[in-house]
Amino acid sequence: MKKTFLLLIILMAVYFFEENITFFNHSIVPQSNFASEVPLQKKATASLFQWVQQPVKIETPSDALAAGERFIKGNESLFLIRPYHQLKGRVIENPMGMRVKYEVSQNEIPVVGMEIELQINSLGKVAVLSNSYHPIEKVELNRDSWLSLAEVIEGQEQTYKFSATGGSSEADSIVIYVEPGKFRGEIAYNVSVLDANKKNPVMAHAVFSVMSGQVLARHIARSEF
Amino acid sequence: MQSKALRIEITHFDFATMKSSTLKLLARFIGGITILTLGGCGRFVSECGGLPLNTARLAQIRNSTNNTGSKAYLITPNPIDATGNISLNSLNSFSGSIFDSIFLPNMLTAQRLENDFLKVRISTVLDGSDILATPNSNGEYAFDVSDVHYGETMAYHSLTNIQNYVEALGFSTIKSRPLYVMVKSEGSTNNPADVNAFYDHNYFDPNLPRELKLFGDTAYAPREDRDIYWHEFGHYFLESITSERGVDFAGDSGAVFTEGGAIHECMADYGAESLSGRGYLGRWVARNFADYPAGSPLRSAEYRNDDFDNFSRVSQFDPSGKNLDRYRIGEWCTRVLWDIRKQIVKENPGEGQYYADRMIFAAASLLKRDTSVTELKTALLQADETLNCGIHGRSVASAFSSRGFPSDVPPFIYPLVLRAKLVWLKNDQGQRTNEFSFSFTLSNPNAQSARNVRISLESLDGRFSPTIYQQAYGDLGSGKTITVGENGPLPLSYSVQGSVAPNGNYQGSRFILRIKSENGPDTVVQGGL
Repeated sequence: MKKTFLLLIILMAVYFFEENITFFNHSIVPQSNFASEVPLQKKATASLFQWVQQPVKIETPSDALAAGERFIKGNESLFLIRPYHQLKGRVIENPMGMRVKYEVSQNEIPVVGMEIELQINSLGKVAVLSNSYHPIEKVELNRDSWLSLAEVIEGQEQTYKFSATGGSSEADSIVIYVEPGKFRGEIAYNVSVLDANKKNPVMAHAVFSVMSGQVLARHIARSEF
Repeated sequence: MQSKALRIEITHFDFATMKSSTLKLLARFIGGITILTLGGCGRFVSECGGLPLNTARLAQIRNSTNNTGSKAYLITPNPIDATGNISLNSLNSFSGSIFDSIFLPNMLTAQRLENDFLKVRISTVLDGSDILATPNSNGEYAFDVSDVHYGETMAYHSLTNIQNYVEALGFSTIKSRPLYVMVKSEGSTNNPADVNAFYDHNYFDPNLPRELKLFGDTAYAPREDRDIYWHEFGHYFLESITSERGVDFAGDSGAVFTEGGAIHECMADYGAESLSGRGYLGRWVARNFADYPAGSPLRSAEYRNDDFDNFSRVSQFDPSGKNLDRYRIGEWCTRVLWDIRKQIVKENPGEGQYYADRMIFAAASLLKRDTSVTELKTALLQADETLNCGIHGRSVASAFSSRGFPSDVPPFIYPLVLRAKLVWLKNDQGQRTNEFSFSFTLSNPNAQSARNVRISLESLDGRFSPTIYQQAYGDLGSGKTITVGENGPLPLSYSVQGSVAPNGNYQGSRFILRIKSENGPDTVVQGGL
């Protein structure tokens, strides 16, 4: 009995100190649970849920940020990050593992509609939770070709009210907007508007293309009653 | 439990990289199994076991027993629930022990109800400090219930309290932009009787803060009730833990009804109901609405023998549009979550509520863009597997099935039949706008019901933008038809919507209308502008 016990202790030591112990694991989270936000063209070439060998303990948000950065740099072919795009990560803590969400910008203008989200567990394993980044072309920022906000408003006056309470005649911000499934971004004004189409008009934030004045997207507040 | 640990740990062997001899392999294998056996469900189930919670800290937050910060006096959650007297309102004179003595933590300065994230205001983001609440000469925030400053104090207390709670459960919240709370907001009508609450995540505009706006200045003003703040916080919290994937992105874009919207309300209600432990919310604010008997809650997670106890009663499409209301599936969903919570509390009285909340919020954090009830069920099972080694899997499945959510939906064969007509929208002056929609009829020719039916609008050439890109209609029974627009029972606001450039060349632009459901083939209709 004692010999058996001693043998088990030795075998346990072998288990612990054996070199080349790696932490690959594809089995814990089903791939299909996270598949929807990955562009179709990438699904053919890249595994969505990839663990990477990073035997590093992740104890703080800074560790997670560093692990995420290593992962993105080490998987260029998966993300195809263009040099004119800057990524800014922030950590979101969760009992199931830290997550790092990357937002994209070009020349400090936020790119709305392209994000990468990684999950990083305490052993440094990294998984891609969602990836809507596209290697879109660089957006030209030549303001001479932009419509002024006044011109945009003139073209949309029959559709939206701009001077109502809370509405605005000034752009709240300028963003590069990427519509889902598209491979180009458009410079756009963010403007608070009142939607005149509704029986009960609602306040909305509209994203107007600076090139055509077209509404690219619209967002309304979540109301209770 | 040990066999679960074994199953998971054994995947740590990477046989492809093993360069060892057979003996070494055998040594590692037996050694590993021995450790697992000895370890049981301790260290070696780290892959499936969540860390123990600091339940003492959670209880302290839940009971508001911290003692740092400025002192405040509040009736929590509101005078009706605090006393059980449904005839009370904010015009009554309150004094003495009905007020809880509470401390307001983490304020940047004792003179102002704000911290580095939360900013409490009265009517707008730009309110000057001279009109906002300040402490009395004793350094205390003490006001009459009807005083707007009481509402500001309640806002600060309620929101810091629930934020501390979810953070103690292990969830961080996104603080990249501040959260401004307007307790008596200015709106398009400014009618004090118009009671409402808005949460705006301002998805597209990184220059804007998150905004929580309360409207109404009645004897039951929403600003006086902790439930309202906890519910609205739930919307912000869900956006945070899902990394802003947009679990109801279609709703945020203007869709009237989606299952994602129902789950947004469900999680917001559940968080408020669970932290209070009352299983319902909104008895105070419901007094503003004539269709709620005095003393009835706005919504309840507890069994009440009403429509919200069975999924089919809240999910089946009804021509009147009754079920195209996100609060109906939302309330049903809270009852499912409450059943799960009750089971976990039964297994672990005193602490189970915290572990239930952690599992349920962790599940919510897995939800994808434009989520569904089916996805919520899968996420709950996955969160339980990850945090609790799957020991509540049967409770989760049983909670859904006992409330009428089918585990297996019979598939249908024939695509739903869509007949649609493009309609250019007009403004209130009768002028044509730059937006179009579709009137349509949609029929189910199958013998089976179609689960979670949705219509989506896609642009094939990028010459228009789908603004309201998706709408949902619940479950469409065999032989049933949805009619939207064209003098049908549902107006065009229940349809999808697109936008073209002013004076732009959009003629001939191609679109797809796609009908989706969870148990049958898509219907795809192409057309041109």
